[in-house]
Amino acid sequence: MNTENRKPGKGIWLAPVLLALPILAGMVFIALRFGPLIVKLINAAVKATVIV
Amino acid sequence: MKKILCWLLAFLLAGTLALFGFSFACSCAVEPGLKEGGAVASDGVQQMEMNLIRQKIDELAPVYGFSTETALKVVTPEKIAEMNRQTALWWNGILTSGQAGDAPEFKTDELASAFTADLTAAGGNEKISDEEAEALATDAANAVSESILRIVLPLRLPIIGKGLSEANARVDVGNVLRFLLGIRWAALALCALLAGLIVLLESRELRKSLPYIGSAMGAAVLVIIAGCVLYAMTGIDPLIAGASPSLAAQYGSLVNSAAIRLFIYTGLLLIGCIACLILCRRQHEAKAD
Repeated sequence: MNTENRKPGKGIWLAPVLLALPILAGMVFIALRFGPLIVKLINAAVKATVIV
Repeated sequence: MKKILCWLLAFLLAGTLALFGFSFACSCAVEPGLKEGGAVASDGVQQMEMNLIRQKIDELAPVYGFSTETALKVVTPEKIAEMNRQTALWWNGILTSGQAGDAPEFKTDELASAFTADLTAAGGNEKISDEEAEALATDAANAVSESILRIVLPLRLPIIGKGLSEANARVDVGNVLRFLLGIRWAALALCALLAGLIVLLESRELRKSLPYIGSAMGAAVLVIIAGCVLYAMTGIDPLIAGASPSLAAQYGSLVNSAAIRLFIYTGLLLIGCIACLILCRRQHEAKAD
């Protein structure tokens, strides 16, 4: 593989994605684990307080 | 070791920048409600409420036998604006002291006398007596007043009042809300601290700390976008729209104001990220040359 033509510092653009990955993984985990419960709670709160 | 510590700080900075973005957007949407007099609904929302009230009056008019024109002479846009001011004060009471004050109401006296005159007039139902007309007019005025309240503030006020008093018995709701509104400044201070620590660790040279700070900004942009996608997936907006169109309009104006701020903040972060990373890349290229 020819590495001479590779521009230096190119990998820096990946850094934000790599930094965000753990937080995104945490958000996805919370969304999958507690998402349905949160939606149900919001649904119940809206039904209880809003006059349809 | 120094690099690992810097990346760890950059990771924390990314999370704090995202937290600041969310708390800034939410608190700026809620903050007008804390001012004296509260946040009155926008002209667009009031116009929509007036249209819904007209529709409701059209529905009630044949049931109670009053004319739509008579009702609309009393139910004016100015009176709906006054109802909205009362509603803003009601929200202001909840946000500042955690207690629901006097619920807004549309006075029925003027409506009842207008309806009585309408029902006893020559064009009205000739079979009913004055007493019957008065009773019917009072019922009609109450129905119209209740419909107006349901459109301007479509919430079950006793449930909210009871819930707030229960919550106030355990915690000081007003203080908790003030604490939540203060999170953005705490997050901003933490952002400055973390960025400062990165610069300190990199021998106080800003150009060396650019990749960490720029990457943290970029990561915060990704987290904010993911947060917005997750919010959209909860389906809160369609849920409220299905429950009450007028509440959806009021909630929509709050969400819009928060979304505009979040959009501007995310744009600034993105520009900062790109600028930092381009400068960093140029440094690398200069070194390589």
